[in-house]
Amino acid sequence: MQRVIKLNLINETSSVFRRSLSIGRTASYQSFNVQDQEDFQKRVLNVSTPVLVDFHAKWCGPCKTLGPRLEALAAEKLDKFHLAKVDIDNVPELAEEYNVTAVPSVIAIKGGKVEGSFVGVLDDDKLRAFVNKLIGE
Amino acid sequence: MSTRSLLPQFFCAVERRLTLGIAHRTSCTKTVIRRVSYLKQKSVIALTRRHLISDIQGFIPCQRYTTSTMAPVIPKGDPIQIVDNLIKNNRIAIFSKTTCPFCTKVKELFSSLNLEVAVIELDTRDDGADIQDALLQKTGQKTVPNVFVGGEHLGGCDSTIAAHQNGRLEFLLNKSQAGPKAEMPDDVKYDYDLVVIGGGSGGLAASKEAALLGAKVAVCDFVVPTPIGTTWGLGGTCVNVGCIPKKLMHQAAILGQSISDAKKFGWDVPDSAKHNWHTMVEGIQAHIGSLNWGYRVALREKKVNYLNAFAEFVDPHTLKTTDKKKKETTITSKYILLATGGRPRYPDIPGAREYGITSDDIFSLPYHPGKTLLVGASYIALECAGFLAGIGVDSTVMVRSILLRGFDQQIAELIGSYMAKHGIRFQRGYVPIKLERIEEGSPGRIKVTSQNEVGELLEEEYNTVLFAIGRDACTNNIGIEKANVMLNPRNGKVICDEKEQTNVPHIYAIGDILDGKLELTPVAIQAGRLLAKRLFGGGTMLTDYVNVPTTVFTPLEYGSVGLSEEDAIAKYGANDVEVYHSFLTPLEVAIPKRDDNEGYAKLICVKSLNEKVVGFHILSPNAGEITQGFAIGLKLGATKADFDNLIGIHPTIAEVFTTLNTTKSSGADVLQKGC
Repeated sequence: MQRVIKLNLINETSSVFRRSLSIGRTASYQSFNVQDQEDFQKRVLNVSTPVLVDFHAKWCGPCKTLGPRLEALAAEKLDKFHLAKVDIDNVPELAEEYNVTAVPSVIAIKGGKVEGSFVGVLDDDKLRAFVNKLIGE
Repeated sequence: MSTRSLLPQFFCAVERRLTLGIAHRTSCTKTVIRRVSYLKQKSVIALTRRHLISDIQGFIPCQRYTTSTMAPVIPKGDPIQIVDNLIKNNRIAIFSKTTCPFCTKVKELFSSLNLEVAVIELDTRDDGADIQDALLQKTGQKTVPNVFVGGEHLGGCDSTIAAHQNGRLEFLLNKSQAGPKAEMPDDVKYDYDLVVIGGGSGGLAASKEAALLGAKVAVCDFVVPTPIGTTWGLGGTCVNVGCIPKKLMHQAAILGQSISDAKKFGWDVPDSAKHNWHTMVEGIQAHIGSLNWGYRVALREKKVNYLNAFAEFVDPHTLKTTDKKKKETTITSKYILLATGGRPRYPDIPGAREYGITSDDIFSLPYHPGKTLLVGASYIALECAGFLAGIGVDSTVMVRSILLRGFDQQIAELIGSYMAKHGIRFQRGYVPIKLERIEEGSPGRIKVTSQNEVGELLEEEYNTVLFAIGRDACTNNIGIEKANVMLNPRNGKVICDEKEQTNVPHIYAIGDILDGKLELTPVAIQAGRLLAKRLFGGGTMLTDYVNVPTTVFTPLEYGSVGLSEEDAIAKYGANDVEVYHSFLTPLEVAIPKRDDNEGYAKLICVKSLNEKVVGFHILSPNAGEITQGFAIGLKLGATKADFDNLIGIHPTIAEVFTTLNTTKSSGADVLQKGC
């Protein structure tokens, strides 16, 4: 059983840098809220680590189911991928750019390129397979 | 302005003949036409089949003359043609009677404005009655004077005087003077074919339709926050702070009633079913959020450019848009559609804006409103009071005079008494004069001081004060004067013709800002779609603003189509109006034994039109659902006999309309009795 604690708030509103403490070792994973297009460019497109982008909305019920599961997977896979969360009402430009029409929508980005995507809530096996494919496991 | 240029050919021809001294026999016209006091010297020419008359001051009498080759041929015996020709060929056309004082008043009005008019005096003609029938068919108006300006029906004496006061007359005159609108030059390149200001129901409908037809379209939508900071997303009033959340809160209230009814139907429901304000607001706001998003996606899919920015006119074709980061952009457009809608009005009293809220705030209020005062007698005030009381909020309605002005007053009073019986307190005859904060908080405490007509003061404490005293058109801060668009000075609404066109030919307006039209979402949608089709799809259909069904979602819903009883009497005369009516008790309330005979149905019929139904009114649960279907009957001209001939669905509320056989004039009891 992993315990996730909030170690460090990199900036007030966005970036939550989390460190997972598991048995005998220390590792970290990144999960953050995307602030704007510039932020997205810097932390999603310009990084070499694969990023799972979760387009969600406050008013979206299924998003509340999917969000924590993505978070758990990120914590489990540690730094193999980052989780970028985009509130489509806060950054509608990104939703438009990636042609998001329904939420939750998840796209996988590696080296600035879209590697895959899905819409809606996937069951655990499929979700895990999707992530594994992205990180090459 | 050249007087002559305004003359219809008919006058020109007659005038020429008179000038030249040519006399012909008039064999084919029966028209008596007067032109009042505008040809400085020539003044008036009046012409009948038999003779010219000279009964207006300043006229230079001429001898009887006849003509055998009369110029503008009004086909004999076709009263509709006579009406149409007079309207078409004259800037101002009046159908009048020499004996009618109101006709004289109207003629005097135009005379005082130094305007020329063409008049047909119906009582001087053999076919006067036929023409009057033709007018009734065309306009639904039987009485004289019947006035047309620039081809549009203005109405009788009162409407003409009102039109003079509210700017509509000036608008129609300017329009007819401008003549058929010139097509815009093609060599001017604009950024867009159409820019819509306002992303409400009407604006979105128009923009999507226009884009679908190949136009390059942008929608500017920007919500100015309320005084307490409430704001919302794309979609306008209906979706965010109107119909949608209102109906959902109405449903919350109905469920409360159902829960208490349920016990009588055998359900084991706890006596103290509690309502949670936060759960309701969260659910409603989540739904609205998804709708806002859906609209954005729909615009994107239809390739409409959405600008989340405040638009103001720079000149008639240019807009300056300012987004929330204060970034300014200038855009130009061939056509501009004003669809800015309205916002609630605050009274001009101390503390109103600081401590009061409106319907713009209530649906997302982050705290339970507590003891609430609703100020106003509008449908918004009554609906809000209804659902608040229905979910257990202590609700008081403060009303200056009558309830639901403009609606059928018998039903308005029935709504009021039903609400009063169901725990809503009414303070009638009072208006608030001061709001003071006694305690901060969510909600805080507010002391309201109000006053009645004789100056008696009333002080009471509330947690929330909601103003619903009316709505103002959002036309005062968009630089509309830079585009020279005419507004009604009394209400700031945009004056348009039947094509929703303003006095500036490339600028149109739809929705709540349209002067003299209905403030209803589906009306705006229809107007927007049809306008886009006319502008970009070769469409010709106009929005039909007559017989629009609507429903007030008070605890007992009130659905109506057509005229109120008052309006029907004003239009057709009390003697020509027959009202069939009945109280009603829905079967569903028989077991809980509540609301006996609280519902009411009436049909307003015109005797001389074969008992055509001109007004349909129902006060009952689900009145909205009932009214929608029946509305098509009224649109198709259904008579009372058609309603009688319809077979009911049993057991329903709506079936009452198939068996209405008691007239109001009979005075017979219409309370529904036992089994």
